[in-house]
Amino acid sequence: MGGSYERIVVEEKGDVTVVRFRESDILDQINIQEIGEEMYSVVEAKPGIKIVVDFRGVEYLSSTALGKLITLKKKVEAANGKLRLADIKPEIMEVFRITRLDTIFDIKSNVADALERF
Amino acid sequence: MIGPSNEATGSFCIHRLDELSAVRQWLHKALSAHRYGSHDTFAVRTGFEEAATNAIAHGNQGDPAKAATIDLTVDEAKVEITIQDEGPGFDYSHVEDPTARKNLLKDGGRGVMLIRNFMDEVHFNDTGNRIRLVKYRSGVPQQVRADSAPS
Repeated sequence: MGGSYERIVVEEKGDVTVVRFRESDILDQINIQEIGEEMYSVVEAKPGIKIVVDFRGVEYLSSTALGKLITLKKKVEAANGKLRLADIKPEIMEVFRITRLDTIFDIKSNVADALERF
Repeated sequence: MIGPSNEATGSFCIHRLDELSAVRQWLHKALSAHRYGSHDTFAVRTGFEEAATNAIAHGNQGDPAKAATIDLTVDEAKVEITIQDEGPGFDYSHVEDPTARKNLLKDGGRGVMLIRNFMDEVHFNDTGNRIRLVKYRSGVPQQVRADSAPS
């Protein structure tokens, strides 16, 4: 599994798959749709996946993108995998807190922490 | 356009979500020109994106034959955005709480909550197909806000 996606970059770090976004603004509805589909395909290709979504460089995130993350979580867990989010900037963390999504996602400060004891 | 009072105003007629990029660029430029900080900029952009998406995707149901008019004003004290769609409106007083346990794992329904949290004022018309958002520059004294508010 390599990084041959248009909207995301996929790397394998040991037995953990790390996904990060090519764009800093995850707002455009069309982009969000494509990002979602690419992330789902990564998960569907690897049952039991351990996956970290790296938010490094992401400046804005819409509620539609939050919906894609929720669907991603459901797909990962349905396939007995684990999902963590990492390196979310403070303003976007506020979005997670306001929507109480910080209570359902496993969020770490950075990717290194997210890779530990997965 | 920047008027004599150093106020920037913009007006857009949008039919599709992919047309929002022009409004984003205008807003980014106006916020930067008026030296709004990163926290205020994030709040404005979040409020705008959620309201604009609601108007086009939900109000107009994604119908490209329908328009959403977006009027923006940025000045030294505040940012004001008005968005009107051609839909039938919605009951904004009965939006389900997306943080309720039964709704937490739903993939939608968070837009209005984010708008209300990030903007200082949110006004709907009676029908619910027009929204006016106001974000005051952080640190603007309350008296200045009162003076700026419409009578």
